[in-house]
Amino acid sequence: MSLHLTARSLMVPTEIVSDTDRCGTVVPRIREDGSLKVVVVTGREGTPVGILERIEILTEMANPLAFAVFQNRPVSSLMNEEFFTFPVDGDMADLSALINDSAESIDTGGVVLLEEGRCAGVLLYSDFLGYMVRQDAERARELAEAHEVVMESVNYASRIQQGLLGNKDKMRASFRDIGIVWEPRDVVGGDIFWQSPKREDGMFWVALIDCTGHGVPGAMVSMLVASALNRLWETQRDLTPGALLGKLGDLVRVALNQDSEDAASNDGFDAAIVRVEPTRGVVTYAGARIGLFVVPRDHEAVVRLNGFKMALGYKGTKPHTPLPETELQMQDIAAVVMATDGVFDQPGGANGRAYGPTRLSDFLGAHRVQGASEIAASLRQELTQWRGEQSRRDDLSALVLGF
Amino acid sequence: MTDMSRLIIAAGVRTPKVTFAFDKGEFCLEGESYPEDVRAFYDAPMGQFYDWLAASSAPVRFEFKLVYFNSSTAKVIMDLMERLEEAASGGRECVIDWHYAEDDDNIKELGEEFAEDLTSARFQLVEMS
Repeated sequence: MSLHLTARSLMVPTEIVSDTDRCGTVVPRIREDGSLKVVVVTGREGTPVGILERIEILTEMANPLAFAVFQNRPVSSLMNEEFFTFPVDGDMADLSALINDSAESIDTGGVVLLEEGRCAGVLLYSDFLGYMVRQDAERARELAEAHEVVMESVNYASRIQQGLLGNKDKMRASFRDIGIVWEPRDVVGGDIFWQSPKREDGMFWVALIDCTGHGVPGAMVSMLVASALNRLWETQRDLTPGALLGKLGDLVRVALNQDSEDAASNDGFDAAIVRVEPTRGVVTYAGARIGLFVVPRDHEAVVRLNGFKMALGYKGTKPHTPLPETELQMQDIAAVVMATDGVFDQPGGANGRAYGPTRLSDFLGAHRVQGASEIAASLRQELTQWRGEQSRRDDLSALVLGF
Repeated sequence: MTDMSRLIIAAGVRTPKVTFAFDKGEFCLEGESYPEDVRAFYDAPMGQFYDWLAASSAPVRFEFKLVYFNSSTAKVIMDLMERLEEAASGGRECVIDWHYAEDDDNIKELGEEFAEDLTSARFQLVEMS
């Protein structure tokens, strides 16, 4: 609840004097009555023409000589002609804006409050400052409340999103070992990993997808991609990975109505998918903007397979064509690793450089003797260290599949 | 007084510094680019650039000095490259300078990927030490 106060709520009564009154009668009254912080001076029609500020008057009139000079003059000779007026039933928020926008000093004095053109009282700047402090605290509380509501909602959304991710236990059972890094930047995000059930012959798919954006928009697209993947598995599980990714791109594009030129949205995803066929001993990879790092079983260097360079699902009228595929012999591989651009693009290190593919490749080479889950744990540490004091720029995910 | 020959937008935390010198045909995006709403940031300056590109026939030099950009920014850059390529294929001089730090193979590779689609526009990788 925000404070909707009118100026009247902070009004204090004031002494009103005529501009023809003599200083000799007005000044002693101000001296005697400490509550008279601001005295309003009105003209012949009763409209305020100036104010007398207690502190200024006391300072100026402290000198007996000055008082002697002024005592027979009208108070208009002492008054301050520059002052704010404000309707007594006006909103405090408008008054705040008025005062904040002006260069007016609010150390002393106040605003003259008007009711039907006449002075109803004054609003002292000291009371105004108190109001500002209270309002600030109120705003901070409101903001904290709003933040809490949003975070509760996003945390709940995260539980839903985690439900559509691959089941880690089932994934672990399908490989010698697996390691997963899944770190959405904003609790939920556009990165998801997914694994299909197994066909009768043991064949299955594993995918890592990076949907446009992050946070809630990213998570919304990820729901769509995951459901399209499930549908493709149900209906077309004989597709090879390259054809599968093309179909997935088409499904997402149509679902988002991006298959026409005048589409309002233009979203899509990067993807890597591997099909594992235990009976043939073959792993087939296809990717769109997510490569595959292959750690060979022998001591040879880590191999980087680059995916197709275009992302999928974005606005377009021609259906996607099947993507190129690479077949790997399972017996030659210690592990394969796929990672989203949140890993590669993150600035860090001594000079704020992106982590980049070369550093990941070197890292994997250096950690090849570790199991997949250890590699993932070390990678998480490595990336946190690389990021250092830099803020996280994007969702970040990596899948390490050990064979 | 607004100077129509220049468009300068100071860098934000999530947005790059934009320096468009229409009178010189020199344009530059510098820094990081990951606005939450990419269109809210880019629609206006890119709109101005495309208007200028269509109205003028002067040579164009577009400099990229980016150290980080998100994928929606990549789409903006890709569209921009396409427009520059189109202009260059009509015989206009279009130079694209892609700056990268010597130990930043990621930005270098991203630039190389953009360059793959360019045949008429001149794409130059510029290493900064």
